[in-house]
Amino acid sequence: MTWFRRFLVNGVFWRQLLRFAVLNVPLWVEPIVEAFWTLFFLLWGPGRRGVMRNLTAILPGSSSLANFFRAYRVFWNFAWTITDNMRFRELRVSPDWEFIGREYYEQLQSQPGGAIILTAHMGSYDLGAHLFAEKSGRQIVMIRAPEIDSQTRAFEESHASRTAADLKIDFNTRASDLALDLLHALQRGEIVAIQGDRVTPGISALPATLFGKPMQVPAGPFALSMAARVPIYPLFIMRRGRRRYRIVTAKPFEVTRTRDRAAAFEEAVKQWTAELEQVVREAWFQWFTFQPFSEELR
Amino acid sequence: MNIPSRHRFALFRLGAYLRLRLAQTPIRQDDVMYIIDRDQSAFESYSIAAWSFVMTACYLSDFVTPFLAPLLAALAFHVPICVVGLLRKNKNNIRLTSIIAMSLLAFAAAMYATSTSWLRFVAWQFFAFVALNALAAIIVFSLRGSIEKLEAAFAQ
Repeated sequence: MTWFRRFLVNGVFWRQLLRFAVLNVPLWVEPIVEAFWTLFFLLWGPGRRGVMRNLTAILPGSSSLANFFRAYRVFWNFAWTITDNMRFRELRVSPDWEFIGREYYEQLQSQPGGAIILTAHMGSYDLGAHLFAEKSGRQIVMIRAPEIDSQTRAFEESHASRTAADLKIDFNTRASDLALDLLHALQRGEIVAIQGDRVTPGISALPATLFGKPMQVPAGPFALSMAARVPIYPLFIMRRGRRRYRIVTAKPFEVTRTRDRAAAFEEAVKQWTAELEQVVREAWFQWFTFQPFSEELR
Repeated sequence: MNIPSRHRFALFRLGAYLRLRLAQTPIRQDDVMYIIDRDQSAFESYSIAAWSFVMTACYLSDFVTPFLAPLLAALAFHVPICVVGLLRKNKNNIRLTSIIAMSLLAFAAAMYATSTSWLRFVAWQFFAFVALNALAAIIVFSLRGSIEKLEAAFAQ
């Protein structure tokens, strides 16, 4: 029954279908198609419940009925975002961009040494990384969670090879090798982009608090910052409307080397979660985290 | 930033040109990066999508219950997309599917234009839009020099 696997949530069929849509759907029909297929996301029970549970923490006091419709809004934005990303890959059509915290964004572009971009599962981080790599001309290494399904992984990797020359996509499967590679990349002055709002199984984590709930964030970016002595730039990409995205760059921070490593990590994690919380509170409909972010919400 | 070049349909291009003329002074925006692409206008895309969806649902309500017509309308738009996409795999068929989908709307309008049901009004407003768009296309073509100059001034 392996043929059936392609139709599961993480199956390759949905990626192929998205590519098919991008190559065939007239742009004036696109909103109809997006609205129709977003309804199918709502049938995905675990994902829908994950979003609704996260919303109870982000928006305290919100009702289940309201959160059901909010979940549709999250999926609606997700559908548009993955479409825009696929369109860029296939047809090189870029959206409009707005910049918030432009001084930090420009500082990041002209940063003399390496730097870490710490981002979240929001908007199109793929598109943002492409934009940054193409406009700055700097080598950027983007770390992503590996696809669970082997066919989907092969599909994604075949498409990743078509990306900009300055953009390298790596998968956080082999933690120890990858950490060394990234350390060397940072020491060479490259920029490493990591998502810091979700922990992949097998990856070391640090305790954190988000919206008053205990959670875990990946330890990698903070340890790398400390080891390579490079700053961390919190950067978020949000969809603002049809083919329009906003890049929010926050003030960078460093994980300073002290005798008390745990305290240094704790301080850095606090800064990161404060930025993340502020952005997610304002744009909860852009946070594509489909599992409860805290054990308390399960 | 609603310059005519960011619109596909002549009626919307003309509307953007008129808005640009009335705006008179360009506003300086440093923190944005606009893309010039004919399908970039959200207003145009959503308007045409809503208009064509409502029209299709109206036509389908002649065959099925009005509650089912919107769902069938959404599915109906998938038919030309799937047929063309499966016949011409791995190719950019957007232009072709767009022409076919609009032709099907025109065909449905032609079918109902001479009927005695209320759907003839739906059909005639389609032809009215097509006629208006054709007129706008002539105006936009004759104003192309002026549009280019105005866009250049605003896009700096």
